[in-house]
Amino acid sequence: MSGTHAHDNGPGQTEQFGFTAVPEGERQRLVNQVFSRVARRYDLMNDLMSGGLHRLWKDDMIAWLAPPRDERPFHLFDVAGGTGDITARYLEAAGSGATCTICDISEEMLGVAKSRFSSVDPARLQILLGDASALPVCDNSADAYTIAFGIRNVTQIDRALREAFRILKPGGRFLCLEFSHVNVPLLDTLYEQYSFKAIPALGGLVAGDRESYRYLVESIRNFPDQEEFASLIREAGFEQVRFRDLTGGIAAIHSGWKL
Amino acid sequence: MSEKTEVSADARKAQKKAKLDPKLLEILVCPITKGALEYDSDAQELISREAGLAYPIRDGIPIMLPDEARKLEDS
Repeated sequence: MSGTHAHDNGPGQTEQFGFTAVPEGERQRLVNQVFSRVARRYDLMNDLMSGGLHRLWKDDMIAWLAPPRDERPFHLFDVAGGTGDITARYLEAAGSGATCTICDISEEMLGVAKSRFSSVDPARLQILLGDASALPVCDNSADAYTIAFGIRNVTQIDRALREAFRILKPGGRFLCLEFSHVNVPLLDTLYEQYSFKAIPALGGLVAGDRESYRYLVESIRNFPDQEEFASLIREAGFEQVRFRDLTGGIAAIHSGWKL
Repeated sequence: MSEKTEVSADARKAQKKAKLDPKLLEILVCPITKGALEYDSDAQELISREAGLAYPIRDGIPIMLPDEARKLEDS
């Protein structure tokens, strides 16, 4: 364990906010602030961070989820789903029995989702505000759990993973899309340069908020690598844990089953 | 200013009519106790007796954070 990510921290310890250590408890507030500030520009930010590739990665995630295309009931719990990118793809790909709950900790982000899905039947899609590490839904209530570009902003990743396990039905599927660690020579150096120099500058120019974008880049570096994250998922109880690198490991999708 | 107050009062009335989806109510629990919630549609609150908290519903969205919840007096 590198110890750079935020889990297993006892009371009175500090948490990483980007590369700055801040008191535990303070971190979530700071993270929320970042998302309130960037909510309306979040898609743009993802475009900057991934060179537009996040759209393809999200398609990959839904392809791997492969929700039923017929009328069989299937419920997805989409955490940190504020912009609605995953939910939109899911509703498009899935059959008439598919339902979805979007859960996000940011009211501003949920406002984006609410207007995006205003024409969707509320029986098919519900929206709620909640914390990934203390979910307000009962045990065994979802067939799938997705979290895309959300888990690295959760203060206690291990708790969030245990909550995912709790709310999934036996046989349920966990899928996580997150920026990860580049494992292709040369690409890693290039990406390092790009993300630490170019992205905060672009964030400053485009959204007028250099600091928020700097946090986002640093939080990617602090997040555990593919193998390390896979073992955290296993520790939460999931089985058949696997991951796929996307674009040389700039991002990765992790999958696990509650069996 | 008074005009603005009227608008928001109307908006609040409209919200009161908007019932939470029964499917959502079925799966919602208190994030702390994981116990059942009571739905107060007039006050637009979800009440966790065990935790002594009332979670607000704003603009049709349940706000399920203890920090945002109202403390119940009789607990």
